[in-house]
Amino acid sequence: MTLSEIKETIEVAVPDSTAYIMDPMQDGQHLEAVVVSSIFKGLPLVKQHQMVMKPLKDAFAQSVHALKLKTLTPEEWDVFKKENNLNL
Amino acid sequence: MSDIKQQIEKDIKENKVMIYMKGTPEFPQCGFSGQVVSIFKQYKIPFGAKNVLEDPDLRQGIKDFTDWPTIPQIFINGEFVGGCDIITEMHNKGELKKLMETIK
Repeated sequence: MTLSEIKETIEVAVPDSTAYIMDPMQDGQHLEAVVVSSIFKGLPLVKQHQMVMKPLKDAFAQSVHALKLKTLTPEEWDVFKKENNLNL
Repeated sequence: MSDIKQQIEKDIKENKVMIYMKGTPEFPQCGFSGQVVSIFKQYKIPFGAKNVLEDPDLRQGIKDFTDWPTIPQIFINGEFVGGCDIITEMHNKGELKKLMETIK
């Protein structure tokens, strides 16, 4: 699965979300993702991650070995961007 | 499939902390599994561990049980808590310490 397919899969499955997928090792296997959605507000971390991981079952069955995941609400995303001086 | 499910339910009931991992606590065979084991060893609380590499049915069964596609998987007090990322984040934030105190 390509990074854009993974992005799309997540954004379709997680309501009102934006997903940023990265492949730091450039191997298509060890990926990183930041997923931003207001739906995460108040949800336990594992439930947030499960929402993202569940639709990725096929991706993991095919090429992806690991996905380092960060789930954030829009407010947390703003703070995260400032802290990491990202202009996304 | 159901005997795997029953086995998992039995494991997580009998072990306050249960880790499904690749390899064993003494010889983890995956960086993520090893990281989780080293975190739990710091709490000096006994934990159950199962090597999914020895049991392909368990390896797939656990993923279906939790809707979580990767290993390791960690249960505390019978509840699925997450994989390596979540355990590490909870540990760093002190949340895991609080949770482990409910076990003593």
